[in-house]
Amino acid sequence: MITQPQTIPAPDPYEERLRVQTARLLAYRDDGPLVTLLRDKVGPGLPPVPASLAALLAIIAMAVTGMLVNGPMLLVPVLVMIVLVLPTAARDHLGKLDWLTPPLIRAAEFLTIILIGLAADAPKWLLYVLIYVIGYHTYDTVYRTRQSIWPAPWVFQAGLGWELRLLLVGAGAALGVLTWVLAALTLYLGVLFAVESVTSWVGLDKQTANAAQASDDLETSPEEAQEQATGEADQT
Amino acid sequence: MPRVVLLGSSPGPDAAPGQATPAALTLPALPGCPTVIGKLHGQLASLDPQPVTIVRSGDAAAHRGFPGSLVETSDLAGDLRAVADAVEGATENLLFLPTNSLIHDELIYQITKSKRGALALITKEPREEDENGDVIVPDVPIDEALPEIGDRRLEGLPVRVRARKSRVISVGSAFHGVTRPNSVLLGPLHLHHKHAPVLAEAARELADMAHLLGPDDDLVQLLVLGLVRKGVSVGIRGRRDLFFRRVSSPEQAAEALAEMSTFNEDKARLNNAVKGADGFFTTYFVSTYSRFIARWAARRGLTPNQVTLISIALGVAAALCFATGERAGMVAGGVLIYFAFVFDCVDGQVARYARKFGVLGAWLDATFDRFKEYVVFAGLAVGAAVSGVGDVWTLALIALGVQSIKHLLDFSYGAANRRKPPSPLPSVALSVSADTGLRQALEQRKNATTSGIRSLLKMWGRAGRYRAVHWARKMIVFPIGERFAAIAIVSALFDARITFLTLIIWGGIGAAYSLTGRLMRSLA
Repeated sequence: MITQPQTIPAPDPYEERLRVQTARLLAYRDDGPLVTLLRDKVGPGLPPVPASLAALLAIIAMAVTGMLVNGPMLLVPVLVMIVLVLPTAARDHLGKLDWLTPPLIRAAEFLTIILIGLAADAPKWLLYVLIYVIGYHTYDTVYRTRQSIWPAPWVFQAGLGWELRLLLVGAGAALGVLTWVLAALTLYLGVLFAVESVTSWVGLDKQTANAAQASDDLETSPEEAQEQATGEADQT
Repeated sequence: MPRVVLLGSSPGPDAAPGQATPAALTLPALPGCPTVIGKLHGQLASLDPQPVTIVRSGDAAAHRGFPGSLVETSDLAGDLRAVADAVEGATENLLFLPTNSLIHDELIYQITKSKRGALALITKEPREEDENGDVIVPDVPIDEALPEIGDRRLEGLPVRVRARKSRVISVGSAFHGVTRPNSVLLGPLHLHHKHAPVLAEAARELADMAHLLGPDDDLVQLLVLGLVRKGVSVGIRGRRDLFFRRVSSPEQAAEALAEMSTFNEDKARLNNAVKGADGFFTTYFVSTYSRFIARWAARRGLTPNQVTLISIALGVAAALCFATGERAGMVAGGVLIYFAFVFDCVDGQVARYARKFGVLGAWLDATFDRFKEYVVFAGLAVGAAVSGVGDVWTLALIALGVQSIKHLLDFSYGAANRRKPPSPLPSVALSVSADTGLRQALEQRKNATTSGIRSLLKMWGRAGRYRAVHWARKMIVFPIGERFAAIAIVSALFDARITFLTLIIWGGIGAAYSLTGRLMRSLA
């Protein structure tokens, strides 16, 4: 009997692109340990965009109606986020509009932190630094995945994810120790993200010092990148 | 590093019976009096130390004694098969060049750095004009025009290519007709290795039908014909501010060399280092002169990362000035933040001009752009508190949040946009002479995707031809140049509160605008 030599079929380029880009979207969500733990236990989950949009609107509504007063009430927007957004992690994010999920989650997270901080009268500069630090982590994830250098999974766990960060801030406010919680959280995340990011980028730079292929611009908007690559703007 | 394939047996303009091999022409005006092929080998040594040269046996002598391998052929079919053999199984990208090319190093560099899967150097026929200088519109509309075997000539090559704005639509030969040919393929062709098997297959098919092809058909033209007929998108670029010519006689060589020396290659390199598609402010108030700082820095031996550090220092200094809250400090801060932005543009230009790219440099640049911007926000907020404008930290928080989310919208849409299913170009068998089928299939492809939203988007895209619309659209999304300019000007003239309000309102409008377009594009 003649047997054909077995070859491993190369992955279809389109399938591969779909997989990588979806993984990037999921990384931008910045889910933490709690989401990882509960992801498989929420059944079919919730559709990502409607659920996170609902959470964002609910938090805005609470702020506008003046419901967010100092005290245990400040834990409510956090719980709204957990209840509505956590189950969306079970979904595959392949929908046409699912790219809206990461910005919606991050917007809701930032808004919640700001609202809780203002209601509990925490130092605003401290809120500013905390949001910058979380934002730094998001930017760093984007820049790394654009260069196909994925941050290690433990970074997302150690970064606590949006859900644990919000729970800590909410609990701190409910217990009246928000400033201390903000200070500790900012210091911890700042050191973690800065040290991890700098060491891995420097290490990577040394590895690729000779094979530098980093001409890919980290800054370009999607439309610009398309314009440069195809020479035609807005053709899709 | 690409695999270089040198084509010595291109027929067409190079076939001058009885004359010496064009590639063996000497260039007495250059130091060392090299031959054309010798100069080319010198230019390519750093790209590919082992190029493949494909020549007719009669011309082989002139191509001996250089690095790489030499394939001798006896006819056009042999040339095409040799190309197929040379590219089959290539794991590097491919660069094709005629052996009688006179070309700038910078042009080779720019072509090989292209992000297109396939890129050919072309030149378009000048449009026909009447005595008043108006473009003559042909009587027969293009949809009714018949494919033709082009017989006009441009730079010695038959005009047998139809190119549109960004890619080659159709290529002809002595056998293959083209509807309304308007360009010639000059010779250089760069190809991503994923297209190598397609090229090899097409070259073999063409080799089997070589008896139908004519003495005018250039080898590169035939290769592109094969690619286009097989549905590969072949991008085009002109020579722009660089020189390329094929020479076939001593007079041509002398003439071409004289013309080449009138080009400023360094200037072209510097211009190419400036990123295209920038915003209005960057284009008109920074890019007009930043390249000269970049060249100065590169010549002084400054690395891109050192320039980035200068920019960071200027940004921090600006934040400190803003933090004083006094009018003089605000003005100084505005000036400093402007120069922080200028140096931010310069670092990328130094990297591209000096060709020093690094992973760390790209990261430093991107990360500290954010840092500079947000540290200036903090400086403004401190300044407002110190000078008694009031507590604007809440506004600073909102400005920070709006800008971060706007960026994340960009990034997320970018990731999702890259996973759209490919929309393949039509293909037509090489045994068919007319390109009518290709044209019709392209028309169908265009019309098949015309839904309500799409036609709206298309109209919007066309509106970009008007300069005012083009720049208004670029400004409304509030790109980095406009942001830094807004901070500088508004802070210098007014106070931190008004600066933040400007940032939040403009940023919000920009986010709403780009979100609308992207939602439509996602649903279309």
